[in-house]
Amino acid sequence: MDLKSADGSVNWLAQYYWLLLHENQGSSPTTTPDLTSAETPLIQIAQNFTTSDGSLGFQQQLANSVAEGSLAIDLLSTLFVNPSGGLGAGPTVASGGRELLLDTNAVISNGRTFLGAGESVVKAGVSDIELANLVGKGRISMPSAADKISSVANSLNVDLRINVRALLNQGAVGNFADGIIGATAIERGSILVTNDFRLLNAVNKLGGSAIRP
Amino acid sequence: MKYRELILRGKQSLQFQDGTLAKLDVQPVGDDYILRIYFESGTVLTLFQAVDISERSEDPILYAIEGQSVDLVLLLGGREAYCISSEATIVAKITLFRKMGEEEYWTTIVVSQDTVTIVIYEGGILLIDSLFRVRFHEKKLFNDRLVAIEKDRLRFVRDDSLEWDFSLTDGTASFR
Repeated sequence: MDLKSADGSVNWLAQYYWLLLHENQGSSPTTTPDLTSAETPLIQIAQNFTTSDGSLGFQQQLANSVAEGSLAIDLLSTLFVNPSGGLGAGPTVASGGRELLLDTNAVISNGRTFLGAGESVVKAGVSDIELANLVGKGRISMPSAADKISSVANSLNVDLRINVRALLNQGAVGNFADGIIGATAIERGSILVTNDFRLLNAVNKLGGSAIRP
Repeated sequence: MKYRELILRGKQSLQFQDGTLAKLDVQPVGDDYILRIYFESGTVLTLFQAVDISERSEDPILYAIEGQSVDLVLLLGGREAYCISSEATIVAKITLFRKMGEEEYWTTIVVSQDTVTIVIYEGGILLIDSLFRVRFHEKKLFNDRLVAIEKDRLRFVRDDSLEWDFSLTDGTASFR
């Protein structure tokens, strides 16, 4: 099976899926992914969402598919980021200050404000999935700021993601994505902006920096 | 109508207008909290999905709304709002457009007026009268932000750009 698309996104999808499997099994990946039949549906879905530039119309396509029920959003929630972090990405706001990484809730509630203030803001790739999921469920309209805030690659540091998750509300549904967002902020040296006090405390405790909007 | 915001940290008590006292206890169970209400009579009411566990707050929150009946109180916070009596019974229940798993987006604003109480939360607008009857209960989007409360309407801005009103007289929405 040829998994390589024009921008390599599908290969990255496969790697993310592979890491996800290993993370859930509590082990570290040591071999190349075995893309057998179990992964095939994911790969096919990925190819459907990969355009020539890896980003065009991504959020809308994703939202439509979630609404139609044709996309296993929970399973795929951490997978769609290509090496450049370009999926759904827009122009970066120039700022002399430290980069702010907005949690998904902050993109919704304060994204426009931060952009308007000229801050250098980014979001983790997984936030694009969370936003599309909420649009698909009819819970939000896609925030206009979302496309203007660049998406950066999710952290691949499994240990760090687990450490963040361990400090969150155990059993909560959104912990997987929050673990990624927290780890991504710490790894990039960004200031995380979040309304989630547990994630805020977790990032600060693990040596990162987090603030409320 | 009046309401009290109870931050459920340590011991908290609930007092009905008829003087009945009850103690509140909240315990995490899985991804939810269970609220237990201990009455002096020895009866214990156990309520599920009753408290606000928004990730914006360190502690669970409960809103106790008082109406016309001195022996009733409406407890609101989680997915379910419970009208309970001072005799330790559940009189009525209102299910909000609020979902578990979306706690990071939960927000609650309670506005108490003479004869009605308005609850504006992330997923909806609830208007109840002093007998705890639901006058209106309509969905709204998380990014519909409340910007003004006027005599007969609420004003919202969707994603900080699209303005719309919610009529407090007929419960309809109108976009500008």
